[in-house]
Amino acid sequence: MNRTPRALNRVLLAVLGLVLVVIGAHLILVTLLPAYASVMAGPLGGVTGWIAGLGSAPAAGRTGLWLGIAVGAVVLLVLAAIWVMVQGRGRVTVFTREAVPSGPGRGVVEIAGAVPITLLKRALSEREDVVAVTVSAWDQRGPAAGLRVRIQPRHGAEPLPIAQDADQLVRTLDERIGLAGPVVVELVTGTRAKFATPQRVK
Amino acid sequence: MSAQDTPADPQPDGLDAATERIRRREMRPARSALSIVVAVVLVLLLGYVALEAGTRAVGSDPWLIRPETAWGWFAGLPSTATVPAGVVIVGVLVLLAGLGLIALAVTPGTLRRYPLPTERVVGLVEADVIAQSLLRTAHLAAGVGPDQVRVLVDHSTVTVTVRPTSGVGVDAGTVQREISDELTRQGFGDTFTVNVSVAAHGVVGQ
Repeated sequence: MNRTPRALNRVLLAVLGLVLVVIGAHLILVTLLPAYASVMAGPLGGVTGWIAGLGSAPAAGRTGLWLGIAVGAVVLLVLAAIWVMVQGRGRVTVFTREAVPSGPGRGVVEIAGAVPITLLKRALSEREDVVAVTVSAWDQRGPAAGLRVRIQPRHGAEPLPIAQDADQLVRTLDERIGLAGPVVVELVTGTRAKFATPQRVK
Repeated sequence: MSAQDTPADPQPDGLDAATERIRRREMRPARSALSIVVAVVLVLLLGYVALEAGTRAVGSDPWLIRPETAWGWFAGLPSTATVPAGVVIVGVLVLLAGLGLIALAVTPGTLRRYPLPTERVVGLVEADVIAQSLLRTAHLAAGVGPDQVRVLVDHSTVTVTVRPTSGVGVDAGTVQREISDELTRQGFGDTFTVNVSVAAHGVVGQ
């Protein structure tokens, strides 16, 4: 439901994994396989010679390489930081925003995320077999935001009736608000459920 | 959240498709925790490289090692290695880490959660919630106290471990049948195979 770039995550992890495999394989082969080491000695030595040659170059060329490496590393560092920041984004505070272009009620009608969140929370908390409910709104392409409902059932509670109750409540919410977005209902365990008294036979 | 000027249909056409897409998406991990760990390591490494290269560019003393000395060591392998075995071990570790990353990137992975038969919403339940709900059925079927049974839900198996009360037999078949019935009643008809194991040593019952 969030906007985590799942494909990007996997591509970047695979590419970095490949880089590690190449480095690791090189370290093993260069030590254990003299034939491989002698083949690689040519190009690697060439780079060493080029770096050494810079020592006699004018001052601008001498520092240019290191400056370039430093700048390149900083650019990649910023990209890596962006990669961290784009994880799990997409939480919103507005449930729907609707423009009314004409008529007496002209303007923009906004329903805050707190409206469906509070309604669902209150309705679900009334159940005896529910210990805690958290609801969050997430940006979606449809007319309304998506809702993620996390329910901690009391230990021993049956999952299906709770989920079906939530399903029915969301239908009612759809009717009342008149706009519907995707909804995820998760039944999870957590500290609240762990320390609450378990469900007993009635 | 596009603007709309007509009263909206409570169930727009796109909603079912979006719900279906989210249902599939919610069953697989996003690899975001691993991504964050890898990115943080990358930031630290690149930060060090930038620091050392920058120090070299302005001609100051190196922080840990001069970059061309480091490159010379790397390019001169294996003769520059003081401990060749160490280089091989580091190489193997780096190789394995790389293979691990590739494996985690390519495999879909699983979350310990299961879909529930709901229509309007995407219903999901964690394995531990199912296990807790099966506990009562298990201990009543085995005729022991609730602390004498363990229920573990993992992938497609439910494992019930019963520690019988000393001197009182426990019929594993009954427990298995009752757990299967309970799972069917809860809407997990063919999701799980049920394994029941009865511990060899009994305990003082309740």
